Amino acid sequence: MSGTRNSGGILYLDNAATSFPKPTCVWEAMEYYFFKVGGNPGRSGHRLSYQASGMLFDTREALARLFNIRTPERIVFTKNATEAINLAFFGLLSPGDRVVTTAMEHNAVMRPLRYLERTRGVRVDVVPANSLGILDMEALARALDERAALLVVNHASNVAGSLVDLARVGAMAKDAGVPFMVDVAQTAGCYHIDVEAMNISLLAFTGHKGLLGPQGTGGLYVAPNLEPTPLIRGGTGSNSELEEQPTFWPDAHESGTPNVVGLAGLRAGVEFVMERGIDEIRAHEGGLFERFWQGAREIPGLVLYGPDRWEDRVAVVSVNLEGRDPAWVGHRLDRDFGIMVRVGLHCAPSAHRTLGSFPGGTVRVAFGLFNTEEDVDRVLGALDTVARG
Amino acid sequence: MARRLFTFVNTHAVIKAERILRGIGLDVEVIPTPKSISSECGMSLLISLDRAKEALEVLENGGVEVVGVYEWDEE
Repeated sequence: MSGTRNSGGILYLDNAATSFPKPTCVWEAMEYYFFKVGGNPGRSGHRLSYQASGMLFDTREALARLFNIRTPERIVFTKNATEAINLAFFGLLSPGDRVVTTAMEHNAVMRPLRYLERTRGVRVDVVPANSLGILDMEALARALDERAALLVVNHASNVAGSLVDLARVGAMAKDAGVPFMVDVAQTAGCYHIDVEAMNISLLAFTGHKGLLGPQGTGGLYVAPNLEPTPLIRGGTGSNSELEEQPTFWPDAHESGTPNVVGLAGLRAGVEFVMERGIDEIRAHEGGLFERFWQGAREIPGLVLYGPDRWEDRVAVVSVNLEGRDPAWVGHRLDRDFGIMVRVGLHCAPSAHRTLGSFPGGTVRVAFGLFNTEEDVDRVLGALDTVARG
Repeated sequence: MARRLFTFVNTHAVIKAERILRGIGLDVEVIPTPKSISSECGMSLLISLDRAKEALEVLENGGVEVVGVYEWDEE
């Protein structure tokens, strides 16, 4: 099964915001639920309700295979990675707790942490990165010398594309006895993630980027030794005689009717990714990046951000044209060339400060599974024209 | 055919149990949990009496907690 190409001469290069287009099998799975199933999972006793429950079960199982999670019931569905991150922070952190995080975090991590710092007495220590967005591992080691309640790391920067070596950081967290939480919003579906091998205790993912599912899907995996208090309480279809929230998983953290139609699509997206294979996806995106990076160096006045080596990054690329407002460059790409990119600060002011692109921001080009070499050449040609014009 | 009714903590566990048992060739029926057993809105599994012990062992090995086992009146 192949992905659907977008039409009308539009070139979509904003896959770090949300992947587009999606594979045909994703909307077919959603259509199947919408027209053939329709029931509310875990509620009523009839077959359509039970079938809907089975669809959620299958989505959890697919994600568990992808991330090597042994306890699928400890994958909680949320509407996005942001909600998953909030669930973890508000459910686990207490006054006086110290959290270690990095300068490359998205505001999905920074804002709830700063709120908890200001209102609940949580201490936040931010480990710096260099101007390429690569984490300072010595500073991280020093930060882990002092007792911490949680280490939170963005696997890949949504601005510079720079990767963190999760196996190495996970081993450091294990040695320090600190639960390791990872935000894989930019890497799930594009990079190998193994919660066992990488010693990951909390994995926050979104469904609508590399996993190719629809928006409104995401989740949090929580290792069996951690029991966060729920972010939301309410009806679960279980223990209905009690007015207290159940403590078993996933019910404890899944109150209210879930997004079954979206999660049906997410399962299809995850299975599409696994059929294609992470290695092949990674190689494809690497080829696109190398072609872009090489061509971009030839464009006069084009400033490139982030690591040069593919091993150190994902296919999220930030650039700027010297002396030009990124917003204007983005508008020219859209208006004159039909190319969709994202400009500005990308909800990550700390990352832009690290890269030296604050407060102006950058022009972000984010390749996806369905982009081609022709797409790379087209955006390079457009940037060259804008640079010379 | 005499059967036993197995109850579980939630629907996730029912589905997991159903798939494990079907995987070893057991015929199971999914039914809404009778209100005489639990007032919750969950589902349960009916398993033939002669294979109920085997089913319990298989589920335990598979990491699925069986909350209760009840005699089932076929009427």
